[in-house]
Amino acid sequence: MMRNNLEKNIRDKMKARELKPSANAWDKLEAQLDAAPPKRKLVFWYYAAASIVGLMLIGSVVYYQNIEGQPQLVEENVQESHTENTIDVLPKTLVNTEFVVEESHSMPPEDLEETTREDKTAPIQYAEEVEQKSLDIVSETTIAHEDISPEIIEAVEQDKNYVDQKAQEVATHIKSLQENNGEVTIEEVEELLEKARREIFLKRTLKESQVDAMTLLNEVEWELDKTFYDKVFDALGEGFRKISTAYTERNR
Amino acid sequence: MKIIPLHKNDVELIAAAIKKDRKAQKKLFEQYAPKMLGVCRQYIRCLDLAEEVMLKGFFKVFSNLDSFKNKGSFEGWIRRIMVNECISQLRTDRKFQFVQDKEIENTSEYAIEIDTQLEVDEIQRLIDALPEGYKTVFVLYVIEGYKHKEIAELLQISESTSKSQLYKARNMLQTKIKEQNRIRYDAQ
Repeated sequence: MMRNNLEKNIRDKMKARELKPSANAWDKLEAQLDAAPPKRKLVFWYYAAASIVGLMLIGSVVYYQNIEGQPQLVEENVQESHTENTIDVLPKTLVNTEFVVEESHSMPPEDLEETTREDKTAPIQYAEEVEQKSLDIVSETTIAHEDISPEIIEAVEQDKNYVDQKAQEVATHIKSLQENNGEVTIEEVEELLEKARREIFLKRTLKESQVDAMTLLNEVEWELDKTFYDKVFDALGEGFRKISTAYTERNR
Repeated sequence: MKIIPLHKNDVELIAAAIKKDRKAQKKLFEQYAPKMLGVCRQYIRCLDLAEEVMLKGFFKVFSNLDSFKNKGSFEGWIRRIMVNECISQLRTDRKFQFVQDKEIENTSEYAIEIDTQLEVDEIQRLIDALPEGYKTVFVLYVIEGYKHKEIAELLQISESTSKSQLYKARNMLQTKIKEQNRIRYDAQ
């Protein structure tokens, strides 16, 4: 008890202590109380502020939902253009899926029944889908070709006419050889066709602005498509079936 | 802290003061202001500033009077508001500097071991001489009767900091009182 005496003394004396406030202390407080808005008004303003915040929240949610809607449309467009660009890729995927089917065929017979039934149907469905898609794409690209300039179309048309003309020339030449010499050898036909091939190649190359060494080297490798030979033999007609068969046999 | 039953007169005054009755508010103010200024003066050395803080406290008392609901001591309730107001004032003035260099353990049993009777002015002078952190913890613990846990929450410090601050405050006070007594003895 002794040792706490001082602290007890401090506590009692300090707790009982009173200090007289300044004369205008109440007036100051009253002025503060008068200046303060009534509490109920404050409560009203709290509600008002809360409802404004609420409205803003709802507004922002609606606003951002609208904004979110737009990129979804853009995304769809991107996907469409993506399929257009993957024309080359699609057959590869098709090949891959077919490969899987073949793999499953090479499985032991007991496993085969279940797996093929599952595996086979799925790729076929997929292949059909891909085919349909490719058709769509092809039709789209055909439409797109209409945009090509008339100059190019004319050039292609001219080239086609030149090839037809050459085929006709070769056929006439073979016919005249037949009439003059009594028969035409396969070597003679080949020589004529080779000559026509070179002429067509040169004609096409000269259309381009420059002819460099590489183009001329490529000439050796360059081949006319099969339709040219067909055109030549079509022009020759029935009498030259033997020679055409011999030529096809040789070049197979 | 003693629970003082509310005087019937107080209950009526409080009820009227809740309804913004200025006369009732003034009566309550005149009744409690001197004591509350004494409370604020313990923490704040400048009397004018102490009164300003007390007025802020009373503004809160009258603004939140409906939350008192006549439970417990009205004086105790006002006193707590005043203490909180003083602490936030000290915090605003950045008066708190709690030196955390050395934590002292087992300080709760320690108290000043001098059996000297001091007058209020002397006590106040001794308290005023203490560093801000020591003073606040000492007043809260010894005079207001707060627990270390409550002090820690109020001042946003750890309980051990509160304990060591009290220990240092007591040490310092004891040294000063002894010195004072020696001077008096020498003078005689």
